[in-house]
Parts: sequence; C-alpha cells; structure tokens
Amino acid sequence: MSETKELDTLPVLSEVSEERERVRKKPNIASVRVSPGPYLALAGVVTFISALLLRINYDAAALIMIAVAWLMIPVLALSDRIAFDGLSLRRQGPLASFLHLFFGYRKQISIDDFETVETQAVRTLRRGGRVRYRYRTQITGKGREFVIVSGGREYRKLVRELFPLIHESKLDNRSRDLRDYLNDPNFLNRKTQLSQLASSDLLDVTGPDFRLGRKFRRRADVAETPATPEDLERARLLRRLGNELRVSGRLREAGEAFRRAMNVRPHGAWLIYDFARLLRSQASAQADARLLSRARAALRLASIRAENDVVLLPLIGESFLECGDAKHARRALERVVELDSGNFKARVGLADIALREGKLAHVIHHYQEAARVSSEQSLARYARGEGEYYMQLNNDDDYLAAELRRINWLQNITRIRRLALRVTNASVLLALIGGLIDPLAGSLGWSLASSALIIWLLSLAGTHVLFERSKP
Amino acid sequence: MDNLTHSLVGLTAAKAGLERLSPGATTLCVLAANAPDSDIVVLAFGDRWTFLQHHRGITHSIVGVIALAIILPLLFYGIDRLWSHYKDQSPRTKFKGLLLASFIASATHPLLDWTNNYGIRFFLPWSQKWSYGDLVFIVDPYIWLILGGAVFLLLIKRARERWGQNIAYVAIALVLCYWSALAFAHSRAVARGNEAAAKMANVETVLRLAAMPRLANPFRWDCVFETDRATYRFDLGLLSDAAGNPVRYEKPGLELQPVVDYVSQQRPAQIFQGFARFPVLKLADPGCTTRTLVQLADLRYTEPGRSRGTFSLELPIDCPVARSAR
Repeated sequence: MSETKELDTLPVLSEVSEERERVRKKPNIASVRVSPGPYLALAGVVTFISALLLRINYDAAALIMIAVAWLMIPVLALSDRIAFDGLSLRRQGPLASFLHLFFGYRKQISIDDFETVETQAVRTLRRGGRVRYRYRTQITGKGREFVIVSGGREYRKLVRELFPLIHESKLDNRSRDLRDYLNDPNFLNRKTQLSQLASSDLLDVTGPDFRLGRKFRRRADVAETPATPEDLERARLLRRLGNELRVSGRLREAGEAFRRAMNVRPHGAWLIYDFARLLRSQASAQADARLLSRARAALRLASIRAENDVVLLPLIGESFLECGDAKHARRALERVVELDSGNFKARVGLADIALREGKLAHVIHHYQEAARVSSEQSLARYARGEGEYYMQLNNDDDYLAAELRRINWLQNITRIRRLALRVTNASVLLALIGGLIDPLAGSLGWSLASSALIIWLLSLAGTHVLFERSKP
Repeated sequence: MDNLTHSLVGLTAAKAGLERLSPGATTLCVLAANAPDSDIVVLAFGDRWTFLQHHRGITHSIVGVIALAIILPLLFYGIDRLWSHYKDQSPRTKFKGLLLASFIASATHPLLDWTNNYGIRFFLPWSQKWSYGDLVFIVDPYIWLILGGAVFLLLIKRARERWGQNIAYVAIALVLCYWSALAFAHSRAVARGNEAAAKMANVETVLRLAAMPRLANPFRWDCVFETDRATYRFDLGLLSDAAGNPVRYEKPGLELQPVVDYVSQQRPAQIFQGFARFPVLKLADPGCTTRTLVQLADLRYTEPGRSRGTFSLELPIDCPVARSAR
C-alpha cells in the first residue's frame, strides 16, 4: 500500500475505532448492585482471621486485616454493579476493571446470548396477609451467569428495561410475572386506593371466600347476566391489580382483587390461572397443603378453560410443575405440542418432566425437538447443549456414573456447608458469651468456630468445583 | 503417647468395625491415629527448641485434628481415584466411610496424649493453655500388652474366626478399665500428695500440686507442688505412707530479678517457659567471677544441672549480671 493511500485510510480507521469505543461506552440504562452476600462472607472470614491474629499478639497484622475487612471490602461491595446498556449486561466496578486490566477478562452477555432467565422468590418476612419477597434472578448464557438480587428501585428499573427485550421462551413464569406486574409500591398504593379495595387490616380479620368448584358454579348460574364491556374492562384492571399485588407480596389484597374480578368474569382462563398462582404463593407463605391442593385444582380448571390457548397452556404446565403435579403438567404441555409442535417452552417443559421420571431418551428427544423448532440462536444452542449432555449420559454408562457421583457429592457438600455455617455461627456466639463467663468456654468456642470455618471454606471450594458438569 | 500405642489403637479401632466402612480404612485408621504427630516435620526446618514449641501444638488441637481428619481421607480417596483411573477400573474406596473412620481414629490421638503429664493444648491457636491428664505414663507397657495381644490374636486365623471383632471390643474395654483404675489411683495419689505437701511446706502456702504416673508402676507416683516460695518434688507410694526423696528449689527472689530478666530475653528460655509446668531456676556458681550458667529445668522431668533433652536448659551468663543479682 502506498503512503498516500495509507494516509487516506487513517481517518476511516479512526472513525471505526471511535464508533467501536462509542458502542463500548454506551451509557447505562439501568444498573443494580451485586448481591453483597459474598462480600459479607469475605468480610466475616477476614474479621475472624484478624481476631485470631489479635489473640496471638500479631496486633499490626490484625489491624491491617480489620481495615481491609471493614473499609476496603464494603467499598468494593458498594461499587460492584451489574449494568445494562440497552444491548448487554456487564459487570462494573473496581474488581471488574482489575480483572479486565490484568487478565483481559470481562464479564458481559448480550441480550441475544441469554439462554435462560430464572427467578426465585425468597420470603424474608410474613405479617398477616403480607409477605416481603426478595427476588433472585439468574441469567445464563454462553457459559456465563449473572445473578441479580432485588433491592428496591434499581432492580425494578432494570427489570422494566431489560425483561421486555428478552425472548418470551427464555423467561420462566416468575420472571414473566416480574416483567408484567412488578410495580412501584407508591404507584401500587394509589391504584389500590382508586380501586376501592378493602384495607388489608380489614381483610386480615375476614375469612377468604373463594369458590371455584361446584358451589361457585351453582351461585354463578343463579346470577348469570351478560357482562358489559365496562365490566370486562373492570375485570381486566382488577386482574392486573391482583397480579401486581401478588408480585409485591400483598397476598390478601391480591385475593380480594381476584375475587372481585371473578364476580365479573368467572370463566376467564387467564384469570383462573393467575388466581391459581396466588393460591400457590399463599400456600407457600403459610405452608398450607390445603391451599396448595386448591392451587392445583384451580390450575386444572384453568387448563380446561384455556382450551386451545397455546400461550397460556405452557404457563399452566410450568405452574403445575412448580406445584409438584407432573402428571397434569405433562398433559397440558402435550396438548400444546399437539396444537403447536414448534412451541419451545412446551418442549423444554416436557424434557424437564421426562428427566424427573428418569426417561433419558425422552429428555434427549424433547431437547432435540426444542433445538430444531427454536427460531432464536441462543435457545437452539441451549437446547442442543442440553440434548447433547443427556445423550452423552444415555450412551456412556461411565459418564452417567461419574455425573451421578458428582451430583451426589454436590448434594452432600451443600448439606455439609450449611451445617458448617450454622456451627460456625453458634460457636462464635459460644465464644463471645461463654468467654465472658469462663475463658475455657471461650477458647472452646473459638476452636470449634475455626474448625467449622475451615470446613465451610473447603466445602465452598468443593461446591464451586463440583458445580460444573464434567467433560465426557 | 508413643507411636506404637497410637498405631495399636488405630489398628484395634479398625478391627472393632471401622475397617468395614471402606476398603483401605484399616491403613487410614493407623495413619490417622498417628497423623497429629506429623508435627515432627518441624525438625526439618528448625532446631529442637522450635520442635519443643510446636510439638503437641496445632496438629494436636481441636482445629488441627479436625483438619487432619478431613485431609487424610481426601488424600486417600484422591489417590484411589487416580490409581483406578490409571488402572482403568472403578474406584474402591468410599469417602464417607473413610471420613468417619478418620475422624474417630484421629480423635483418639489427642485423647491418649492428654492422659500423659506432658500435656496438650486443645485450643490452639486461640489459647496456649496446656491441659494435663496425669493418668498414664508416656510409654505404658500394659497398654502395649492389651492392644498388642488383641492385634496378635486378630492375626491368628482360628482366633479371628472364633471371636472376630469381639477381640477388639474386649481390648478397648480393658484399656478403658485400666484407665479407670489409674484415674482412681491418681485421685488417691493427689489426696495423699496434698497431705504430704502440707507437711513438707510447713508455713508456706501450697498453690498447686500434680501427681504424675511412673513407668509401669501404678502404685508409685511423682508429686510436684508449688508454694508461694518454692517448688518441691517427692516420690509417693500408695502402698506405703512415706513420701521419699524430697527436693526443694527456691523461687527466684528480687535479688535474682536481673538474671530472670536476662533469661526471659533468650529465645530457648522463652520457649522453655512456655512449655514448662513447674519451671525452676538456679545459678551453677553463685560466687563466680567471670561467667557462669543459669540452669533451668522442668521439675516434672528433671532438675537443674541434669541434662535431659529439652526439659532442662543451661544458658551462659556474664558474672556482672549475676553479681548485680547478688
């Protein structure tokens, strides 16, 4: 290339570089702090070590470690974020910058590469008909994983910005609920007031009156009058409000909203489905088996009313699985496959059921079908990967034995880890309180805590090692 | 205790049923029963004083024993996995079984060591406090006889077929009975020792007393006691009334303070003082003109001036320091 030509291309190359840089440095639309759990655990371990150093008269080292534990680690925890720039999720913060600078490692997944988005709800507090939920969303794709834990406005913003961009088949039921119904508490309060729902205090003292079975039908037959378009709109709004209340943990009020909506539209399959999900949430919050069986019954009713709704039926199937009813889940999902053989969610759900029943050949078949029918590249990759994994398990007895052993170990180590953590906490308590009464009790407590902590750290490392599927 | 006793205990525990937990459990039991004595590696990196500092240290503490009890079966299991992979066969060992066997066998070590008058520091690294059982001499031929006899019988095919693991159970029961008898004898020795100490101390106040076992003689005990002014040692026979061979070492008074200060700065002396239960100190030649020796000893085992491994220590000292002490 001549020198002149080379000089001509320079501005073009510079523009390309600037464009890339601009794409790379896209402003964040939403970001959330990474769960502080691991940082707190690290701070706890470092504090423990510094207490030991203090005890054996290494005061300077202990001081440095305490400073690291309670100055540096909180700073790292506060600045470690998961950011969404409209195209991808990426880790941000000093630790992420350090890893990128020195090891060239950047944790980032673009939305197109997402394979699964699964959300778990953890109850943190229960008071009357209100439950405080903490959501933990796990996003996986291309062998990477992001875990987002709910923590107020930032989480809601991220969900609002990110989830609508994700393909429907990648979201599980709870993630879908969050996408559609997660709302700001103040806004929800206003909506509840406007809809004139009874206050939660009043609802707490009155018994719920839901009748979906024969009794309800008899009553519905008596008062059968055609619903006006206003009524239908009111029922739609009440259903939406009920779901929003359910997702925010206001279960008793959600029940009231659904009850009113059902008075208007008792046969709506979606409404019954949403109501079944509420019953399941209540059953889980109150540890009530009767409510769980009611939830199953409502789901059965919803699956009958859903008729040929290929959007609703896979959701019902997934909910049946959540309720532990594999038989009805299979029935609902098979109906979806009959109606729409290219339904990815139904295929994956059937694979899940087959796996629970130990039918590896069926699992492989469903995943292969899911990979074939999927229009999304990442979903096809995910289904293909799962199919190949189970095929390997099916074809290679040694590999199957090794994987079973790994899973068995993983379960045992997880149990040991939990136990070790409990023993550590109890022993530290013994050391702190017992130490005031008798130094011997204090020493015993510290010794037990150290031993349990060593076991906890070992089991934590073991869990990380065993979590990955082994290569054939 | 000596490693023969630890090995016999590990072997007997294995034969009592632990061997059935997993293939290789017998070997593991013997190794685990000895594992805390792995602190001997300290000798490869340090001198005898470093060994004195670390022997019966962290590897004998609760933390160390638990860590070793986990590491050993992990090693066993890992080696078995590698070997079976190399030989293209399925692994034989069962980790859970190995772990359980390792925990039980490892726990016997600090328990046995605690029964001696050497002591053990259970709560390291959190507490340096020594704990002493004072029941069994560091080498006990009766335990050898009981456990060794059991192992011998287990090696004989006819006896093994006839009595099986009952042999191991009986051996363990006999050792426990022997310990109980020693505990009873020890309590008698302490009571009698206190009476004798009160007579010997005369106007001094007895602060603490230890009655310690002797080799292969449960009827004779060594008593050491400390008063506000001195440390004493004497022999005690449980079958006779007399307390024999009394020795007395005066505690260093204010006049010996410079010597004590000087000694406290020396590393061997610091380690020795951390170990010694009844430390005594004297000057080899109180009327010296140039240099003399400061003689330290742990009265449990020896007296100042008598050389006995790390249980006594002699440090050269300039006479001006000693003179200023006088």
